Amino acid sequence: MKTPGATLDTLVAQTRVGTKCTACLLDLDVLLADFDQAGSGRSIGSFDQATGPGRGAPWERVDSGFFLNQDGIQTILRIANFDLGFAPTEHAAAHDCRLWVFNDAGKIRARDVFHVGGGEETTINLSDYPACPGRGWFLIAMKPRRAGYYGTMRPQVALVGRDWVACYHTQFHADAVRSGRRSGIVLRTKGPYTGAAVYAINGSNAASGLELVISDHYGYRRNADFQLAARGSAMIEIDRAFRDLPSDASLLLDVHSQEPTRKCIINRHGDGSLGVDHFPNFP
Amino acid sequence: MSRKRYLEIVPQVVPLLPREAGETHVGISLSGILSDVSFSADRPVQVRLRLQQYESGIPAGSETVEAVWREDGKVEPDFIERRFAPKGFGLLSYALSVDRACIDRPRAEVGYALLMRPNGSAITINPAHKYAETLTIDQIRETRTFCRVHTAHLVDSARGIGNSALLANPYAGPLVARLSNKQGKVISRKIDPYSIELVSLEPLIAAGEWGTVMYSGSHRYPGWDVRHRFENQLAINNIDHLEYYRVVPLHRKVGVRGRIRNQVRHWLRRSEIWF
Repeated sequence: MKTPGATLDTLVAQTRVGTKCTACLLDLDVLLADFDQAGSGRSIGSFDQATGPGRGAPWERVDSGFFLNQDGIQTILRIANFDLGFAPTEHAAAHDCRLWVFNDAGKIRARDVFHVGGGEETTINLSDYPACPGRGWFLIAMKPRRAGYYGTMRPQVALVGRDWVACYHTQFHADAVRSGRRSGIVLRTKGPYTGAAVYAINGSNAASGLELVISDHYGYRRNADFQLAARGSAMIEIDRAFRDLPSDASLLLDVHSQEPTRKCIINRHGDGSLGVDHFPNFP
Repeated sequence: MSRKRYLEIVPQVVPLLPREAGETHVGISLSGILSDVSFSADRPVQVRLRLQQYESGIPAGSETVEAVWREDGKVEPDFIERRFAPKGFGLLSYALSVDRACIDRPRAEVGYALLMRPNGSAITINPAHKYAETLTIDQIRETRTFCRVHTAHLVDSARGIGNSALLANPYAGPLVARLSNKQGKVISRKIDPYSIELVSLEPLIAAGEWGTVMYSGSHRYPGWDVRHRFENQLAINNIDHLEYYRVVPLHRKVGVRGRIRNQVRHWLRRSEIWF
């Protein structure tokens, strides 16, 4: 692997590892982790240990996401706490959860406290909260009662229309950034339209300016400015914000902000359904 | 101590849907990837991007793009864009390598591919790492088992809501994927080398009820959650990756300062002062 031009695929091709019986590919990944340090560096069986000095303490995971509660769309939050393969083992620890629902102006409109035990799953319809606004964002803090694995606990967010569902997962609220690789996403126009919208969440207690920049690799570049309230959010329709996009083009949308923000993309389809995704969250 | 440096970035896998579902656009910014994973070049570096397409498990085209990464950080050519509209299901695998070890981190965020539906709207697709995913490695190390999961599947024929799993085998040997629900029902699907399968979840999900499915198999594989019209698996409106069963510790060792910091943050959040 240290030979110039050698690749992982070359390694597999030359050694034939995994080409007859693929079971050993599981082990290959572990070997490659040692080679390229892709793993987290934790030793085997260390899930209730950790790095650094001090005693083990519960790690509270805090995630956020946007929601829609308008135009016949409801938002469902799903949290499941199962062990590997639904086995009744000890790694799915009970979690105490707190949920806050914000409107675009950054005001808390609903709050909830609930518990997800090991082997349990929870379905929360945000529209069931009487004061749930037409759209906005939510924050969920999940604190384990004991050691274990995070397992299946990452919340899924389903936008449910009359005859369709679009689903994305929450991300760390701390993934909010001002700019950089987490702030860009690809778009493509059909004619001069993208049919896309950005949902931006302000992770700060301070109001923030928001700059959307659309560019291509051939010199096109336009920008548009917006404002986010403190702890607020906004859904920005790209085709309203940018009137002269190049036709049938691949574009890059960058979103810069003065305060750290989290961003999702919403793609509208001709049949009324939506597609959703978060902006990249690679470190 | 000198840092390890690498000659390539872990290959990426993009599922290619039949043309009935749309046209898959893959845009690769070489400078974006290289700036993400490496220091600036101090002399020109030869960059090679190799794309390999498969259709129904059979090689359906390959291409190698040679580029130069200059000292000023620019890459020429930089942006590589390709479109794919195969007749059946396919796979695209692409790998980026350099002629000297100058990559600090072998896994890159390469950006989304786009499935352009026949009416022109877009669906984002996350490419998958072919090897060496941190979460998969940790999972195998700790549990000796591969497992993906999705906790919000829904199939509702009365409302026309369909849900399937798109499972890929980008490797040279066949694999068997096993999908299970909490009631213990299991369905298995053999996936041939360099092939993908779109598996309806209707047998595992009670009509109109939210459900969780775990995905295991004879070895690891990339997978995506696909939302579509119930009566047509290729009338797709949303694609997202399957989630990992995360072997991430819930308790962490922290020092006194870290413990105080966590408690202060927890208190501020509960007091709704700072989130």
